[in-house]
Amino acid sequence: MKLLVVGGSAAGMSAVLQYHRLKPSDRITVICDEGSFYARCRIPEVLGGDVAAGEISYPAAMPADGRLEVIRGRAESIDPVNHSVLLQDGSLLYYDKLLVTAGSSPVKLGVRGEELKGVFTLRSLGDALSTAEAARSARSAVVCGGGLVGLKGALAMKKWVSDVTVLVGSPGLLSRQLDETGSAMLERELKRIGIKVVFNTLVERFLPSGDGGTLAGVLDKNGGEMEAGVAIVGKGVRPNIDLVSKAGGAAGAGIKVSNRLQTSLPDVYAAGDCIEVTDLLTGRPTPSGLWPLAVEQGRYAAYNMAGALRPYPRPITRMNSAQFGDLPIISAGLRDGEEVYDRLTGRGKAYRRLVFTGGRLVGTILLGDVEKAGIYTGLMRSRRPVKAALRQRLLEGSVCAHDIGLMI
Amino acid sequence: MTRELLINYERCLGCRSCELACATAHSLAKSLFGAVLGGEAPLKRIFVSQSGSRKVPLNCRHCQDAPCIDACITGAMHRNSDGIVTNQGGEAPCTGCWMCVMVCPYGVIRAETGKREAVKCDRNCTDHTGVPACVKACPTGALAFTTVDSHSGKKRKEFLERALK
Ligand SMILES: Cc1cc2nc3c(=O)[nH]c(=O)nc-3n(C[C@H](O)[C@H](O)[C@H](O)COP(=O)(O)OP(=O)(O)OC[C@H]3O[C@@H](n4cnc5c(N)ncnc54)[C@H](O)[C@@H]3O)c2cc1C
Repeated sequence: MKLLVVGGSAAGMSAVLQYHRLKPSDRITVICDEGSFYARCRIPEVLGGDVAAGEISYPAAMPADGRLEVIRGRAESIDPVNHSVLLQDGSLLYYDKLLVTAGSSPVKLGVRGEELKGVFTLRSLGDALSTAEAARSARSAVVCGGGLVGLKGALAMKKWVSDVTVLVGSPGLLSRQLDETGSAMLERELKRIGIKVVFNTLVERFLPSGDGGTLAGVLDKNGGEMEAGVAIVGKGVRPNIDLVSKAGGAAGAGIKVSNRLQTSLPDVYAAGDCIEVTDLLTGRPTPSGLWPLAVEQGRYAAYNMAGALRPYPRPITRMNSAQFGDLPIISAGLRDGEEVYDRLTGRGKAYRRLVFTGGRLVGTILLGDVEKAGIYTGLMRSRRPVKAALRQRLLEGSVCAHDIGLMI
Repeated sequence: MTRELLINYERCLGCRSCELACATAHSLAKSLFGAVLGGEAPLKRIFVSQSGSRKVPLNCRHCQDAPCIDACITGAMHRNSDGIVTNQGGEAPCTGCWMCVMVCPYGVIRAETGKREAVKCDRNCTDHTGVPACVKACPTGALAFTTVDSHSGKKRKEFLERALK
């Protein structure tokens, strides 16, 4: 048996490690167009100069027993009939089973000047290094987008640039994760750090400097102009479906897979950011888009490719944690539902917001105090009805695992 | 056979001796007095909560398919050669992203937001016989460190499956 894996990041590497454990004598080839395996979520640290590029490698220990081969290259197309993959350099690789973990790519704004030197997206280690390079000599920086990646980029650039402005299209920060109160708390923290935030503003175009090829400023849709030596566009990501869809495989927003992570092409599996999954809470297909899900899916794909039947359970696709300055944030599930409760405690320092639908917890926002967040997400996964007394404890933050049915 | 930490809720009086012993064993000074004098704020990794009429002491279960390991975006959280799940001494540092805090259904990983580091039971507290400090400190036998019968192991797996799937 020969396993071919396209992409060597969260999904690809977890699949390789698990598959190798299950089938130690099978040959595994990984094709990846990036030169190193690293923790993608840590590239803001590289951008900010906190760590060197070599310090975020992941996973450090790969099985080195001759069964595993890594090829640096780009997979161009799949021939599902002949079970082969064509690489950019013209070489052809045959597989018995193929796993596609092509990840996702940043969405462009689609405005004039986006191709200027100094305008970046933040997705790869290479992006982080070139953005850092530009930021080092810039006097002002602009981030387009108030999402997680944009804000992480803004905080990182603040290490180099004193004047950092975030332009947010919506009226709130982290609009997928937070409500009004949460956004206001985060805005206060960003202000304290010295980052400016402008809401309800979209970029009209990026303005070139005298030489014509380098970024000098940003013009917003309201006609406002601001100076910018470096800019990050953070408008979310789109699953990389091309490899599979061009070969005739089914895809929506992401590659469609069965609950065994199998695409509609024979012997072709897919996992991670490139696929869509059915969200546990909404029941709707959604791009997977999260690191833990990519790791989990890689492992499930490995089991299924190795012949063990392991149906992948529906995940919660909105679930994120981060810390900006001194403010830790965890947001999981839906923002709206039938009943919403919120509470500020600890002299306004800790905020909890809970959303219930059909008597079940479907959404959680924790700011300032994120302790025991896993109990909330565990409760969301279990789909247990939540009675009034427990709701109270959840709001106060006094809940413990025993309250959600743990007896060991 | 490996030993595991078992909890007998009926016996817990909520005296918090385990919390104190845990925090002390993890302090640099290794004594409560010394830690306080040295300006350390010792961090406990076992938590006694009130649930209904019960006192519930709880710490890391070192799960088999540990969700915190999957969720770790740096690769810090790992299972060491003793089977202990820990974010210390691995291939990568913990950067305090709180992904593990977000997915642990037992709620026993602490977010040290000031230090930007997740703090959890690492069994780095055992005496020469291998018994953890919390168990040694428990005066009522609510905490026991013994070989596990398959029954309680199964019950625990069932809970995790319910909570995680
Ligand atoms: C700055 C930043 C912060 C983030 N923070 C978080 C966070 O806190 N929590 C969280 O859950 N998620 C976070 N994410 C998202 C997380 O990184 C992704 O969900 C995860 O990396 C997905 O893993 P993957 O293996 O599916 O895809 P990717 O990590 O995108 O890897 C795919 C790999 O395949 C390669 N590839 C693609 N096509 C081909 C081809 N045709 N041939 C060869 N190679 C190919 C790509 O170059 C890439 O190396 C963050 C992302 C970024 C950019």
